[in-house]
Amino acid sequence: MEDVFKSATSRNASDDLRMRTLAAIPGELARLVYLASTRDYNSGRYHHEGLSARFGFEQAQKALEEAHRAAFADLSSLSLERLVGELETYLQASHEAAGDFIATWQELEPYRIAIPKETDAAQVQLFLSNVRIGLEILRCRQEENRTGLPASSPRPLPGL
Amino acid sequence: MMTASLLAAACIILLILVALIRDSHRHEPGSTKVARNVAHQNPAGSVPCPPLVRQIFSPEDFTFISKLQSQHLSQIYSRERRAVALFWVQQVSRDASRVMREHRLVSRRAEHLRPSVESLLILHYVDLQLTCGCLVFLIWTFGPHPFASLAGHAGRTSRFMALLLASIEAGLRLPTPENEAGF
Repeated sequence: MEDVFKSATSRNASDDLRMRTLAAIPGELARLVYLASTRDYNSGRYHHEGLSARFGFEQAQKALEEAHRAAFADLSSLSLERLVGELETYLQASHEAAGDFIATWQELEPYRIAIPKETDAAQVQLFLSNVRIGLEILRCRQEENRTGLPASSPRPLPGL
Repeated sequence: MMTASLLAAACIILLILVALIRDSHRHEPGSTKVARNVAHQNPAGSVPCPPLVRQIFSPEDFTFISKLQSQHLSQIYSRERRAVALFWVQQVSRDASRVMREHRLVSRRAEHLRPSVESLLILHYVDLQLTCGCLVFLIWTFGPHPFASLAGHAGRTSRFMALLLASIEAGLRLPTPENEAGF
């Protein structure tokens, strides 16, 4: 009985998170980054004041973790073309200069911390690889737009 | 030349043995019912290919990159996707080795082993490792995309082995203090 109640409460917390918070965030990548940001770097636990107040800490934590895994699964299963589209959407929503954004992401690779715990290692490698390629595609496009010429001076990618 | 011929002959012999073992397994009385069901209702060929394999080896991303008509981007893509494909193959091979090691330890303590089922498991394991070995060479040399079906075979065999192991270990009767004391 207690398990049924907990399951129902967890589902309600998940629905609440999805409808109130995630629905307002445009793009899969932005949702992933948001959910990753609710995770404490030291403990790995998720925190959301509003969700915890409504459903309790444990249910909120469970809903956030499940949403994080689902968001990563959705994003990492996208084709390269669609992932590039997601990167463009995220870039535009950030209101940062495209050149600065791309250079920072290529150097610091902040998207690594958006990966949920205990994810299949090969899935992680594919995701990281696709993001690296996607960023390079955006960089080449940005350079072409700026100069009107094809990008001819490739930057060395970190880690390769 | 000699080595290639020997390798081909070994592969043919293994395939014949797999077919024979599967056939004899149907007629062996007292085989673990669950393991028998797994072997016949879920032969490796009908186990679905893991989605990750389709993603890594599918030509869709390659087609997208090709349309960009940039040698620079094509080179980066080729290097990245080759690395991911090799990572996946090596992960599958390592995981298979690990579960077989664990199974060996478990089955040593078991009272009732089914030789034909165990043989089937070993043959699939050898099949998987041979496939992984071939894939490593082929991916290094030619890239991952021409070998989607071979990778799919590795993925399905890996999944089938997991199902077979689960059913074997569910059916194994491990000695307990009560059994050993004769209660």
